[in-house]
Amino acid sequence: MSELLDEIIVELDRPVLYTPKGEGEQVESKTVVLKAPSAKQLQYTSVLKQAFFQALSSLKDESGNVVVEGDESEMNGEAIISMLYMSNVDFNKIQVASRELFKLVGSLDGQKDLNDLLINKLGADDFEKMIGEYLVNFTLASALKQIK
Amino acid sequence: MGDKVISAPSISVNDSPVAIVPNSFSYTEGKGEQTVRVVSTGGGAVEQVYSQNVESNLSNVKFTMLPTLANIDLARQWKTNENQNVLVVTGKDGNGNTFDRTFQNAGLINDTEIQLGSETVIELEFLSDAAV
Repeated sequence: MSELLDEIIVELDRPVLYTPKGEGEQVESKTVVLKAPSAKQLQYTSVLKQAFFQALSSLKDESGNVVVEGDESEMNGEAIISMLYMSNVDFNKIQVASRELFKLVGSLDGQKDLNDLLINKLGADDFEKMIGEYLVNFTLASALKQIK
Repeated sequence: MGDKVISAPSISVNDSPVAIVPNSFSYTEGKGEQTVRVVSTGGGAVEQVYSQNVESNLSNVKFTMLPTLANIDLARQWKTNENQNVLVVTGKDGNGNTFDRTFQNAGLINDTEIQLGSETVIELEFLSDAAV
């Protein structure tokens, strides 16, 4: 499990064109930098956290256990997204909260702050990857350590 | 189904959407001006000589905005950026066909006049690299 970080870098499968500040030409961005949340973003991170725990609850078997495929010591972003989709949690709420969150903490190449226009350019898989990685590394970082 | 016009384009400058006055956006492709002249080898025989005036190979983009505080600040910032702005226009016709043009290295060239009033507008004119 990762230690608490200040920011993470997510590699994009589908690069996005944007205009760096002070430059008159568009360049291709292959990374999104996502900063750790503060209390200011709590209204959005709480939605994600609650969704995760609701998903956990809905996936419990008769013994009260949640079975996750793969190495249980390596709960990665992809596994979390799969788990959320398998649950009865409304993923639309998650993606709406994530969009608003990423506009506050995200930037292309660490330079250009994300806005609706830039987020709309991201590939769907890339956006989901960002949600998963953010959950693993920030929102759920301490909670995941306790889950076996 | 007949062709339909693109009447409500979306404009962004430096990756930020801009609200413009409807029907105010226009641009040139930046293919420039050409001349066609005639030369003659005599006897009534003529040939055409085509030439490109590359001095005119710039795109001209125009639109108007309402004089809100945010728009006044935007126009000021675009002017400060000199020719380091990027404009993108996208649109769809009534049949769902998409359209887009990108104008790189765009400079706001007119001395923007800000008229403050209930029915006034800010007129903007950019020159940029030929549209792609």
